[in-house]
Amino acid sequence: MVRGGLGKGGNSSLEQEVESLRRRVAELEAAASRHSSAEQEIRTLNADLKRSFNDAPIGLCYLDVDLRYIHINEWLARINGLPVAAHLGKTIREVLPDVAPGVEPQFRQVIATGEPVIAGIVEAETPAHPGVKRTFEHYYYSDVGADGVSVGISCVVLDVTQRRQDERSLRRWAQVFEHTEMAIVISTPDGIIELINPAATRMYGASEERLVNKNITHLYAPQVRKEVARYSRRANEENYLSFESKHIRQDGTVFDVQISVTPVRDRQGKVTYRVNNIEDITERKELEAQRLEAEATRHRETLAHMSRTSTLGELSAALAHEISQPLTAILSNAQAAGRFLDRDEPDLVQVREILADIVAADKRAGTVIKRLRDMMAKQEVKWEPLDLNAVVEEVVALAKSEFIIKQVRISVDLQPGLPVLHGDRVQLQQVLVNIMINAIQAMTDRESDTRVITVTTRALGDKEITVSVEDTGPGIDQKLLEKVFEPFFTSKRDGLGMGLAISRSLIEAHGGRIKAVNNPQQGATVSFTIPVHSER
Amino acid sequence: MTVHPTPAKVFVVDDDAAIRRSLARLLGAVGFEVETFPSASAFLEHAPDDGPSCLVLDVRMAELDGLQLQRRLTETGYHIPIVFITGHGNVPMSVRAMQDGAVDFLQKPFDDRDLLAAIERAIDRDRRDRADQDEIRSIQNRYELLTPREREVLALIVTGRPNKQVAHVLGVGEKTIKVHRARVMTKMRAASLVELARLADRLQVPSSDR
Repeated sequence: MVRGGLGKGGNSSLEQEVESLRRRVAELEAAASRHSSAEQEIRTLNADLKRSFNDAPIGLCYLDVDLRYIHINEWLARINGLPVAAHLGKTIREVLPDVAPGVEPQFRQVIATGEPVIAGIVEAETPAHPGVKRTFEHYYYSDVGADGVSVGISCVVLDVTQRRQDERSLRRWAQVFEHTEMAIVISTPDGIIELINPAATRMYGASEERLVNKNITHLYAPQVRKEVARYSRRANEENYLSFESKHIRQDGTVFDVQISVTPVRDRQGKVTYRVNNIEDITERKELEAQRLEAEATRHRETLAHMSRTSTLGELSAALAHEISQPLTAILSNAQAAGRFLDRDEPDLVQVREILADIVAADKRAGTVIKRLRDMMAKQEVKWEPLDLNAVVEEVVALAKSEFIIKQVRISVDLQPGLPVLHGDRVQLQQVLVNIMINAIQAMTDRESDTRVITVTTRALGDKEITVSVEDTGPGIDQKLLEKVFEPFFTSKRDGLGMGLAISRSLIEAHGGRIKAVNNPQQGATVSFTIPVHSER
Repeated sequence: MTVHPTPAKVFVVDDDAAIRRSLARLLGAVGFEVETFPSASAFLEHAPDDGPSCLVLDVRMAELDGLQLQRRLTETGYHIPIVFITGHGNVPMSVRAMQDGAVDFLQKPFDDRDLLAAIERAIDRDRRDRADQDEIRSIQNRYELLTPREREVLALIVTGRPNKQVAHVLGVGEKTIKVHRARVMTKMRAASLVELARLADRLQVPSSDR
C-alpha cells in the first residue's frame, strides 16, 4: 500500500471508484434491508389474509379458469361437506356434481365477460346433507390478469335455505294480512296504530293514512272511550284479551265489535307490539237477539200452557159442576120422555119439547167443553181485535160455578164502548182467571156474605184500557205488593206461585203493565193496563 | 106406582132453569104435583102446604144455599123432608146433610129411579109425620078441655097411685077424686089407665112425684 500523499490530484479516479462502490454497497445494503422488511410485511400480511380467509363466517373460494379449486375456506368446505384438502386441485364438477350444472354456465359467463354474478341462486344438494336440496346464494367476481383476461374467479357463497323459507313464510303471512276478511290492526304497547290491513280500512271506511299513527282509542265510539283506557292497561298484562265494545266508522256510524288483543313480547317479556283482531258483530248480535226473542216467546207459551193447566185444575170442581148441570137436565128429560112414551096415548107434543130441551142442554155442555179445550190447547199466540168487556164476561161465566161454590158475590162494572184492543184472547182470559182465583182465595177467611169481587173496565182516552179486580180480603202486606208478581211467590200451602208471574209476563207481552194495590177500605185490587195499539 | 088418597106434592128448588123444567116433567109424568122455585128464599116466601110433600133441593146455590135452608126450615119448625141433589157433592157435605135429617143425598146426574125412590121415602115420612102431628094435636085439644084440678089429678094418677093417696095429696075426699078421674078418662078418651099414661107421655105432660 502506497501511502503517500493522496491528495486531490493524485489517484483521484481510484478514489472516485471506491467512493462510488462504497455508495453502491450502501444502497444495496439499504435495499436489502428494505427488501427483507418488505418481505416481512408481506409474510405478515399473507398470514393475516390467510387467517381472515379461513375464519370468515361466509363461504369463500377461488377457482381457476378450468374451475378447479385453488383456495377454499373452512366455511365453504363445511357447506360442501368435505375437508378443504379434498377440494384443492379438483374441479367443481368433481367435488359437487349436483351443484355444478347450475353454476358452470355462470362461471363461464364471468370468465368470458368479466362481469360479476351478484346474488345468483342455485338449489342443489351437497355431500354435507345428501338427499336434501338446499338453496345457495353466490357472488362470482372475475380476477382479471395484466392483459385484461380472466385468470380466475373469486366466489362468495351463502347457504340461504333457512332465509328463503323464512321469506316464503313472511310472504305468506303478508298475503294473509292483506287478503283476510278479518280486520287486523298492529299497535304499539301504548296503542298507536302502526299497521292496518285492507279489511280494517274497509271496515272503518277510511284510508290507511287516516288511521295509522293515531291512538287506537280513536276507533272506539266516543261514549265508550273512557273504559277503553282500562282495557289498554290490561291488554299489556294479559296474554290474550277479548271483549265486546262499540267502534265508530269514518262516516260516524257506530257499530258493535268483538275485539281480541294479543300482545307480542320479546325475550325479556316486554311487550313490543299488539295484534288487534276486530270483528263486526252487528249481524251476530241481531241473530242472537232474534234467537233470544224466539226462545222467550217459546218459554212464555210453555209457561202459559202449564199455568193454564194448573189454573184449570183449580177450576176443575167448578167445571165439573158446569157440565153436570146440563147432563142432569138431559138425563131427567130423557127418562121423563120414556115415561111419556110408555103411556097408552104417548104425548108426542111433550116428547118433542123434551127433545128440544135435551138438544139445548147438550149444546150447553158442549160449549163448556169447548171452552175447556180452548184453554187447554197449547195454541200459538194469535193476535186479533178484541172487545175486552166480552173477554171479562166470558171469564166471569167460566168461573161462575167457582163463585157459587165459594159463596162469592161478583159485581161487574164494564164501561161500554171500549176501544178495540189487539191481543190474544186466550192469554188475556188466562190472566183474568188467575187474578180472580187469587181474589177468591184471598177471601177464604171472610164471612160468606162479605165476600165480594168487583171487576171494572175503563178506557183511558182511546189509548189504553184498564181492568181491575177488587176483593174484600185482608189485603196484601205493603212490603210485598211488588213481590207477589215474582215467580214462586206464594202464600198458599200447595200453590206453585207462578200464576201472577205468568200473568205479568203475558200482560207485558201485550205491551201493558200490571200492579197490585191495597184498597182504602178493605182488601186489595189487582189491575192491568194495556195499550190499544202495541207492537207485536 | 101406588095411588095415595091425597096427591103428594114435590117442591123443586134449583137455580138452573133447565133442571127445574126437566124435573117438573119427570115427576109430573109419575103423578106428583110439582112446584118449582129458582131460589131458597123464593121457597121460604111460599107458605107451608097442607098435604104430604117433600123438597128436592140443590145444595149449592147462590145466596142461601141448600144446607142453610135446611137449618132455617128446622128452626121455623117446618119439618118438610128434604132430598138433596148436587152437582158437586163431597163426603163431609153429604154427611152433614144426612145428620141434619135429610132423606137422601144424590149426585147429579142421577137416575130417575133413584130420585123417585128417595121421593117416595120422603113422602112416606111426611105422611107419618103429619099423622103424628094430627094425633098430637088431637090429644092436645082434649087436654085443653081439662080443668086445672083435673090436670093435677091426671098428673098423679098416671104414676099409678091409688085414689086414696091422690085424695090425700090433694087434700080432698076420695070420692071427689073418683069423680075427677072419671071426667079425665072421658075427656081424654082413654079406655084404661095405661092408655091415659101413654096419652100423657105423647103430650109430655110432666108426671107429679108429690
